[in-house]
Amino acid sequence: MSPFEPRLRAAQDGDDDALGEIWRTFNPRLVLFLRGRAGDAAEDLASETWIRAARTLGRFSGSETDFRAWLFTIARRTLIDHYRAAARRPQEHRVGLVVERPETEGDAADLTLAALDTQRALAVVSRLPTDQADVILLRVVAGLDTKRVAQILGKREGAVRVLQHRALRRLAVLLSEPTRDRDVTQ
Amino acid sequence: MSWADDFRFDMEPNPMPPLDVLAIDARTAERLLDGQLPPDDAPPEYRTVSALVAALAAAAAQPIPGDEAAVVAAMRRASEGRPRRSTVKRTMRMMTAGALGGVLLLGGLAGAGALPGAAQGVAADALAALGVTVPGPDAANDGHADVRGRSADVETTSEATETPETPDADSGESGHGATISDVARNTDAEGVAKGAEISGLASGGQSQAGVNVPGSTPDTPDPANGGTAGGGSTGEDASGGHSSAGSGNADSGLAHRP
Repeated sequence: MSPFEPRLRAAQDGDDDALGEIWRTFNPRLVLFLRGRAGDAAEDLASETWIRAARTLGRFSGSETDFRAWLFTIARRTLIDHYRAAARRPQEHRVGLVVERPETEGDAADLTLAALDTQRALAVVSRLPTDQADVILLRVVAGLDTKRVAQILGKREGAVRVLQHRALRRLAVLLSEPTRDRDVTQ
Repeated sequence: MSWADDFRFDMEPNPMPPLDVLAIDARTAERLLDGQLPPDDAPPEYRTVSALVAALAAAAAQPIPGDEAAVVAAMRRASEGRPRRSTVKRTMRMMTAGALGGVLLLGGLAGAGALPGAAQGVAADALAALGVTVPGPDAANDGHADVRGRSADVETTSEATETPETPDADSGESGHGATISDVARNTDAEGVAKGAEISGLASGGQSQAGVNVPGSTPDTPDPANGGTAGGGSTGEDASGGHSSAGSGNADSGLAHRP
């Protein structure tokens, strides 16, 4: 039994320390995923995700990987609700919908391996189509396999494999383009 | 077919498609995404992609500062099912608005006198306590009695409804009643004879009280007629047709509109 399961049980029994430990373990991945999809609204969405998760935490049972998949399922639904709510707001009030794309000086090829920091990596991922960005972030940031990503996205595994293949190709093109604003078609 | 056709095949471009330098197999893609393919080992076109994946994976493992205590407290509240403050306030606002709406609706109906009789009475009393005057349940009885009748009274004096005339205290007929009362108190007669005397006086000699009727049991008080001595005589008879007993009640009963 991994150390996660007794920790989860303690959190379910009302142990705040165990709950805090779970939060510390999974929150960085959660915030990073949401930052890649919602930019500055990531912190608020992460808090909302945790609160939603806490409501049904007592009924959850499973491994650490199951918990991660469950948590990111809630995160993605929170994200969808966020976008729906934002779509109903007037245009000028839509804050946090645009992922910041930091200025890259010179060629994207200048993003040397060592210089590719998190911010720039997220900026590149955010230029992917939504479903491809979801697949990349869930695979890399959430650390989930194709099967669980397919469950979260409500797609077949084969469809997820196609999406991730296209996403990798597009990332390769984006990272090799001299101008970052060039539109990339498949 | 001309001689030029013989050279056409030679003039067409190379039918081989260009080499797709970005093509990778499924296993390589999986290894890239799993972080098992470091930049140095990745295909040249995917070295930066491998670096991107490594950067994201490294960032996912780094702690992010945050107010852990506040988040944990919020999570604990959510897990215990406590509603948020805004939810409680919203519920209280809705309940208050509902109660106010109900009072206004009832008040409006009561003010218009449109409620059923019993409800109108209750609403009138309640609103009177608040200083609001609304019509009572008998406000629309057009001058009829506003005291509710009892069904027993109406039943025993059903004939009285046909004699709407009521004795007038100023008409001088009250002396007739006083005479009868005086006789009733001072007569020496007993039993049936006393009843016959009083009844005869009251009816101007038309009463047949005291006359034995086959089957009658004059000495037995009958709860149905109030235990009146004399048995066969009725109040109507005793009053010489001027009795108003029950007429007001009957009117009241008729006047009452539910």
